[in-house]
Amino acid sequence: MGNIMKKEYSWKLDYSVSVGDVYTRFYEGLKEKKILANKCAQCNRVYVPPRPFCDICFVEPLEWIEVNPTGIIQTYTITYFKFENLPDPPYVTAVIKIDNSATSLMHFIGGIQYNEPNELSEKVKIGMRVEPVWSDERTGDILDIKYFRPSK
Amino acid sequence: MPRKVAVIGVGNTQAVSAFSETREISQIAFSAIYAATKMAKVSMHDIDITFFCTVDGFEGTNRLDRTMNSFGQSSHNPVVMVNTGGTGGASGFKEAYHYVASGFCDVAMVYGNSTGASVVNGQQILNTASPPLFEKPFGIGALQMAAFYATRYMHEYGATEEDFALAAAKNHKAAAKNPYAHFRKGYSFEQILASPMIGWPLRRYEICPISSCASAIILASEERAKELSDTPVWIMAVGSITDTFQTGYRDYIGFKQLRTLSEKLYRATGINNPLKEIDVAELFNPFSPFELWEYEALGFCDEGKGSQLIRDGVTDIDGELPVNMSGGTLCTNAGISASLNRIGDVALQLMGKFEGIQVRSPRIGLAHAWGGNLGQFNSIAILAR
Repeated sequence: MGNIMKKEYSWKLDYSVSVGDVYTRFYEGLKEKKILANKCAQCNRVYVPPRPFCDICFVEPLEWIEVNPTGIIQTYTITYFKFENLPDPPYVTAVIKIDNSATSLMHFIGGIQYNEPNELSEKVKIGMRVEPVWSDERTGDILDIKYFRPSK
Repeated sequence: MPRKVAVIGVGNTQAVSAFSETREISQIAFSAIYAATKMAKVSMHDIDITFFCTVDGFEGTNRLDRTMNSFGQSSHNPVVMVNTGGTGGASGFKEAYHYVASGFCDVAMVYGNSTGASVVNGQQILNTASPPLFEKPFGIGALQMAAFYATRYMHEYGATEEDFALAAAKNHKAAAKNPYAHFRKGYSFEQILASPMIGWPLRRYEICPISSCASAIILASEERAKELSDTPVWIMAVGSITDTFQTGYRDYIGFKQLRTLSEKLYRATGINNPLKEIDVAELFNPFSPFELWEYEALGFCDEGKGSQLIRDGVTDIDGELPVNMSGGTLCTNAGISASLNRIGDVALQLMGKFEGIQVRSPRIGLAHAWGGNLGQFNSIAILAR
């Protein structure tokens, strides 16, 4: 018998989901370069991004507040390998806690020297304070923040 | 009161790279299931229910019909689909246990599919495991999730890249002796440290391959198990725990949910000193440092001390508690099969039938699986000879 044959087929599915009133308000805030959060009246936890309900107390609604957009890096990784449909390497993805949030946000880290890729792990630190760099064209999306950079 | 349930059959297939797989997927299923039924001395007609474990998307057919040809059809048994991401095999095992323990069924089969054998780009599906609005856009696959924990672990406890490489070397050494493993080159500590950085701080040989293989396990009630098997392995306890989908709640310091789960199961089984009382373990380690965090969460050592167990040889073949004598998920990861393999390999060790590094006369074994969005699910099975 000759070589075992392969056959190709695909499963392409597109999705469109309602993001609801809570996330819509958050996205609207991003357009205005504001990070809006919400706060549980029962436990006082602040959520960035906001939550439709406090899933610890299991109550709604939550009180809206605007938070200081600077954050602290909780942890990070640097991707050096090209994965299909993921960004071109190297890139730094960090877990960032904004202001006094009970939860963290994931985002890219920029504003650091990328020309020495092997030294990137020295340029980013856990505990580093970072601030958002806003995109000029904001559409109401988490990527309205281009990336976070070390704050001055 | 739950009935006693035993594992009486385990079937595995030789793992290969998913990219060089030449078997059709139902043939892989047939091999695993056939081997399990032979060991269990049952026919397909003896099986009352089958649990099929896989992850949507990986096979490109939602109801996974291609593989279903290989079981249940002639005997008209119900087939139940279980999907908890990478934990799937262990979750299916837990459900099978419940069905038999409750008395609804006498013989149940769990099948863990070769998840990686079909999809061209698995990272794309792993990326869809992330919450789509807030986390998916940031280049996150399973690797990055693991790396978040690794970076934080280094920060908290002063762990080093060498610690991760040592953990990897132990697995590669064991896999070299496991005829079913995928990576069997036995990469050394030096070779691992010299392998390219893929996602800081994890290197190529500290990251699992995408394998193709499958596994099946057959469980039976006490009465049937005693009738059919000379080496039944009794299920002492099985449990699972769920974390939030949104990963923003994680502090990335250790596997806290796993700790909670292990404490619960140790109480249920009367295990006071897991390191001394458990004789063999298979822990889910698609990335080498996982094994260290699992030692800690499972109470084998204090927080931050995982690599000391490896340095002291405590978890190697001659140590107090040999862990991952199969080479672990690090050396063979066919997706869902990997979580079921953890249980199957522990059962084989307890039967004295493990074909790689067989631990000397183990009495109690522990199997762990991890999966979903960033450890959203953890599962443990504690088995005894």
